[in-house]
Amino acid sequence: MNGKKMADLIKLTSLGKSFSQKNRPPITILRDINLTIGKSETLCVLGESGCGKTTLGKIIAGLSSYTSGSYSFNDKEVGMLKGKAWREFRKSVQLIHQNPYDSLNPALMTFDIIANPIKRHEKITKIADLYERVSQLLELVGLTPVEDFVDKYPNALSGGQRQRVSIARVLTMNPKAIVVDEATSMIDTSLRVSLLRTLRDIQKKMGVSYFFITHDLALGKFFASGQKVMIMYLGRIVEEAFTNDLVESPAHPYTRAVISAAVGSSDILERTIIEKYTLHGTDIPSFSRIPSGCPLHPRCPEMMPGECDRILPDLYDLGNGHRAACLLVKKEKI
Amino acid sequence: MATKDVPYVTLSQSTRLKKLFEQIRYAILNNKAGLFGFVLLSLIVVMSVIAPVVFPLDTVSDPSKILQAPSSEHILGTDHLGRDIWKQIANGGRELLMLSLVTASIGVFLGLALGAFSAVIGGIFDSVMVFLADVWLSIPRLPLLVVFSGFFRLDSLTLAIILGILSWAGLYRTIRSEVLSLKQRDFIEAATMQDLSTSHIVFREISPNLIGFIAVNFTLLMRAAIYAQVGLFFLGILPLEQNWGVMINQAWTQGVIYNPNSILFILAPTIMISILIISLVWVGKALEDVFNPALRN
Amino acid sequence: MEAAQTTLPNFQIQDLSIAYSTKRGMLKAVSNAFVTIADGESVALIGESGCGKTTLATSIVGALPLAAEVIHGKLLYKKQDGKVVDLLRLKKKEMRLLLWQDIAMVFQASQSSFNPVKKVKTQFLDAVRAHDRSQSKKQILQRSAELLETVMLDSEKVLNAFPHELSGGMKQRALIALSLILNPRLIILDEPTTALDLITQAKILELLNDLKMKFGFSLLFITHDLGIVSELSNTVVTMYAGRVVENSPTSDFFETPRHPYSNGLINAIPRLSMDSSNIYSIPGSTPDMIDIKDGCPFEPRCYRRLDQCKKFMPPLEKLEGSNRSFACWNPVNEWKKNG
Repeated sequence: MNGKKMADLIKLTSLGKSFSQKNRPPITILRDINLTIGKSETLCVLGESGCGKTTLGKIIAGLSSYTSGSYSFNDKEVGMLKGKAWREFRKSVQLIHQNPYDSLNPALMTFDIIANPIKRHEKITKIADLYERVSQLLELVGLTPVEDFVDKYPNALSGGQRQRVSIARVLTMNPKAIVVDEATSMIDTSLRVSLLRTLRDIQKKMGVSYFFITHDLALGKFFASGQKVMIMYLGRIVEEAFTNDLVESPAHPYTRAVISAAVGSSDILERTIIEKYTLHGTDIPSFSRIPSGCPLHPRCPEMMPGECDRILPDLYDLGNGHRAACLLVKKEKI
Repeated sequence: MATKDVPYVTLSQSTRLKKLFEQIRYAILNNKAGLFGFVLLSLIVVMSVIAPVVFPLDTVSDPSKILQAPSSEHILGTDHLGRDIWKQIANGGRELLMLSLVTASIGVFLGLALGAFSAVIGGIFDSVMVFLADVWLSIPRLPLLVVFSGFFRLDSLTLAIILGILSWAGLYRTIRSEVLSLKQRDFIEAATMQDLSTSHIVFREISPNLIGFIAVNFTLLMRAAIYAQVGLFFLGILPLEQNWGVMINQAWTQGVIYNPNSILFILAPTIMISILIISLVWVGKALEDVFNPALRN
Repeated sequence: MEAAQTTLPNFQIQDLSIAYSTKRGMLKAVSNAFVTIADGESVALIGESGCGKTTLATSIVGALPLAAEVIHGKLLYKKQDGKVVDLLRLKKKEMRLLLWQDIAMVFQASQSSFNPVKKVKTQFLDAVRAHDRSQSKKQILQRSAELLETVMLDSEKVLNAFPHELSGGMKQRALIALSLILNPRLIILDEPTTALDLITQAKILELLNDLKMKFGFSLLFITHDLGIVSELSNTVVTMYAGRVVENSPTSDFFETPRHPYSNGLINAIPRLSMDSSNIYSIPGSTPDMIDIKDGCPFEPRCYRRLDQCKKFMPPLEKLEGSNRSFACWNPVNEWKKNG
């Protein structure tokens, strides 16, 4: 009986990212990020725009470097990879962009967009073979009948269709993990679920892991149902839990504010009435002036003076994988 | 099991070309100036093609017919050697056209390749190239060519090639800035994630987006080449062959301009050169309206 | 006996059809649209991309692109003095007077609505001066500052900033303040909260509701996001393939939608309180708007289709005894006769 836990595919330990500035102290975009994603697992990351989640996604996808901590992929430190090992990694982690109107080359046909990486990596040159592979992938992402799509240029495709081509392109690399960067935010709400269902099917069929970035909580709950979600604020993780736990019993004030905003004040749509919970003030401080102590303290309705503005809370454990970085949580545990 | 027998790679390439031609056709037919320019250009091309057969040059000089005014036999009159001017006009454009095509092709290719690679590779290579281009552009071309011709024997084809090589810097800068902005686009980031080679990215991802740009700049380079050639022929630096530039040179040096009868000897080629240039300008402008990235999408 | 209507609606779109000329032919972006907006009413115009909602809204302010042509229809607006005018037949000069003063519009992707090279305060000044030269600079700036504070922005900071120095949410709020500066009677918002995160979105919706109560304007907003519809509107107008297919009070719309497309839209959005197995996307895709076929445009994707749906276009009919109307031969929730 093998009691050893299966190795995590992606493991970030105390990962941080800072930018140096001329004549000014460096800006820290990400601080102390700890997360793990196993094979065939989904981790959802939620936060306001500008909280650093896209930067984190780019670091995971290997498009950006990290300046502190460790990012280990399949037990290898990504920052140290070179040559062949780097190229292996490069293929194993892919990213789907947010903007479907910019992620496809407008001068290339769908067929070429998908066939180019196939030609390079699978060394297939015969056209009939290429066509077969391209058709397979188009069917996998739901773009059928295939003949209707292969010779179209991106400007003839809708946003949802373009995203599917993007997904097909990513799958040509047979990735182990895909960073999904708000891939549905520029598509009509009525079409988002269909795209996400396709992604989940792909997970079932091909065992890919997802790092799902979004600012829409309901969408994140749908996509990552039964799995974990992480809330970020100003470059730090402030809460993480299984989706149901997070939605039913949020611990961090920021999470509570987000849930309140997501449900809204009318009960017509949600059929539940929850008490409104709002943060003070309206705007997130910039990264160059992160508040001392807990970064949420200027906006937090439950701020405890003398404590919240001095101490930076760690992630305190609430059981069942639920953790929150709030001094209130720490107090309650004692 | 391919459901269609059509080989898809050729399909994509031919469709791409077809789309390009459609765009060009649209540009020309919908723009009055473009249409006019295209017609003029075509007339010149046709004339250049049929002239050797229909209007062959007078090779023998006829002293009895020196500097005659336009008549029914010689529509534009005769030159200082008694040769028919019209025939010289008809045959005079061919060389200019072909040479400017050579120059434009070389110049565009160099500008494209160097500009795109420079922008994509960046680093020291890019910094050095930018510096070189700036220096290059500040060298006055005509005097340089005059100096060249002093050292080397230049025939017109060599001249065309040299002009092409010399003109890399202008297009280099515009292509480089275009590519730098293209580089920011998500689909290029996607291409790097697919681990595609740099040359693939330059020639297969970026270049197709520059085709319009290239089409427009091609006409520009042709114009510049014609100016340069005419200038050199006029200055008599190049060996005398038969073309409009040479005609102007001859008119000048042989004192033909002082004879009121054959003022056409200098006027006609000047007008023809102007027509050629203007038609290129109009066609170039029509293409730009269609291909300008700012107006696209 | 039916009580006579005491107030004419503020704004009426009657039988409006707009088409674009394209290379392939005429694209019928809007066909026979009917919409009414009463004083102080908040109307949500919903539908997928390409259904014609943005075309409809831009036609109101006369901002249609050159390729668009109004085939027929009227845009009746009741001015302050009670006179009713047809916006489509107004001269440019008269239209300019009405714009911003009576009707203000905040376009989609508002990020680019500000002139990037002018400070925000200059743009507020310009907007007012284009309509009302009687106010002094001091007056205008004071009012601008008031409005900016109302939308919870630091007026001092924002007025003196350039647009690129403000975040997306801040720009959106500044634009809302700008649209209010001349006290318009109708404000049109195109996708007011797209690309904004949840907390900012919630704040802006709350703000709009407060402002509406305070200033009493009518609101027409376009969105594909049903979440904000429930928060902000009293009436929902659903559009599909250029046609108005349903028009209902908001609560009726969510509780008993009539048109299968409305029903499909409601069921396709994930919500926090639901189970993921209850979400269904609508199969198929929107029809070709150039090559328009007979019958109902939704028919190929409709799970309630009948034979006649393919041949005959259902008319937009009012349900008796209510202020709901829909265009369907086989509507949903038929048995709930009370609307």
